[in-house]
Amino acid sequence: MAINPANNFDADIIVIGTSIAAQTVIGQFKNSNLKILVLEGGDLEQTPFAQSLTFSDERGHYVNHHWGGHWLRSYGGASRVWNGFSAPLENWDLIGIDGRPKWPLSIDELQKYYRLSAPLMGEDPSVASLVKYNVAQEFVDRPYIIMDSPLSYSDPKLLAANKNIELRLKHNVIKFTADDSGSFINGIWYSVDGDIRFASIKKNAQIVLGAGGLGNAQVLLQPADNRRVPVGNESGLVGKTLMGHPHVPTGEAFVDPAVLKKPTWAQVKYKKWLPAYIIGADYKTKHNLLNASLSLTMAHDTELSPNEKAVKEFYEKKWGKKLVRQSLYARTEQLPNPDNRIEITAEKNAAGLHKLITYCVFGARDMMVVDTIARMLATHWMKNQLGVATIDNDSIFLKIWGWAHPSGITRFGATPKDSVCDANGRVWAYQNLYINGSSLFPTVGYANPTWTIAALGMRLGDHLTSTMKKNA
Amino acid sequence: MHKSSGSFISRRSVLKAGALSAALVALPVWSTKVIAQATNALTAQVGSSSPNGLISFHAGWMIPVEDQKALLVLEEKKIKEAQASAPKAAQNPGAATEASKPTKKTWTEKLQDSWKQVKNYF
Repeated sequence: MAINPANNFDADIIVIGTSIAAQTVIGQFKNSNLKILVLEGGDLEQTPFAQSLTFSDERGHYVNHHWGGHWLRSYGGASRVWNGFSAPLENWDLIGIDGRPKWPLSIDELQKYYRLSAPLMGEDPSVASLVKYNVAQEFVDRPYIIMDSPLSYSDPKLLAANKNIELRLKHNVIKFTADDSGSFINGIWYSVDGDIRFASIKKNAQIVLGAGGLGNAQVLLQPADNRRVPVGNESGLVGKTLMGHPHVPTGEAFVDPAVLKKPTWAQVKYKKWLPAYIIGADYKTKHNLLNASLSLTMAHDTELSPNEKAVKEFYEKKWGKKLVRQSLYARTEQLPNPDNRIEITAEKNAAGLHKLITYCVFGARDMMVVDTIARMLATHWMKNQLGVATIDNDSIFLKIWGWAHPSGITRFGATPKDSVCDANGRVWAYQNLYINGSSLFPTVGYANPTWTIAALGMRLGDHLTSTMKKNA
Repeated sequence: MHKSSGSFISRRSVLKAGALSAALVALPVWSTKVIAQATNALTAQVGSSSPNGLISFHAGWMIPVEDQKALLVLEEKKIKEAQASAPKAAQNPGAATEASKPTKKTWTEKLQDSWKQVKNYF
């Protein structure tokens, strides 16, 4: 693809990134009369140059290229390769309980967009009914939905088929410039193969930054040319409350096969799913828990030890039924902690962006919730003759690790005092700068964020459609 | 106030020494009590997450205390059975399965295996 060294971007909407955060917004404008320019930092496939841009100096529990290893700078982004085990957020995640920040939208609104976005990932819209459950229940069998990978969005030909959309690869956005009023973005610094360029943008052009959970914050942290505060970080909150998802195997179990059956409480047409249990919202509050789930998978087919044989035989005889061997795995919410953060270093990467340093450690509560939910579920199964489980404390407290779903570092909220963006993902200080991605999440729930990112992207697309109509 | 000088021992210093000795004698008794209280509180806390009185049996199985005795007996039996069958296997090494033999894998194969394992966590 030819690179056009233009000094202005003549587009109505400029979308930065091609991951699901960006593609769900672009999707709303296919074949419209608006000119859409899409800037992707990577190429069609991963290149060593693009991947070198994802390295950060990692401190805390998430190290060894943890964040960068899950950040793909090529067309389609990380969601091109995997979607993971998905589950929707629930009301309890959004309402700001236990001192956690509140989401600036309701669960009903989010559910509407979960329903709309599920088919994009090969799922039936009915999976959105998992959002609401009986919160008074101690345990809820709330499975993971295994969404398609790779996404249909990963094919650039689908974008090229739209005459109003122009895709430019290898365009790494560095930072923005603001006009004299300080309320409109009027230009973009970017680089192509390390060659740094500047482009002004049309008045009233809207910008959507969907450059990845870390990438979004990295752009807003770059020092400005002629002002003290980086453009986009007027709140001072960019980079704060970095969260991922702590993951850990909690032990093994022998369970009644009934435990593994498809849940029927939600009207879901299940395709690919994984059995999992969560604690009901009322109990989460009562026990001061974070959100977490325990999933069950077939245990490795190794011979049982004498200890395992004894336990299995004893309870099969006592309860008069066959039990199935399973492995238990916890995925949990990480508490938003301002000490967990990203910052930039003095050194620049090959694309001209200041490099990242990440600080992220698990708190005691992040780990205790895993221990508590595992004990509660083991007790529940024993009490109801549904199974017997181990609690592997070495694993929970010493071998806990996590999955890189960088969230919280450009969070949205109700007021500029406690958030970077407003309820629509617009950076508070600017009329034309929007963000989409997990970086918006004030809290993270326990599951992979892809589905929620897709839902928020479609919602942002709807918002921009109505905004552009008003401006026309 | 007395001024201390040479070998003069004041009544105050005798009282101080006495109080210190009493504290030293009492400390182990007091600290044991405090530690016991803390332990009890901790036990109560742990117990609260297992309201049915479950205990941790070998390898971390959460079981009711009344099942422990019978499980110990059964486990002992299983251990003996395993020990009894172990020499037979040793006498017949050719019976070892392919799966139990160490495999020589290339670096790429090992990487692919790791990636498969990692993908299972998505």
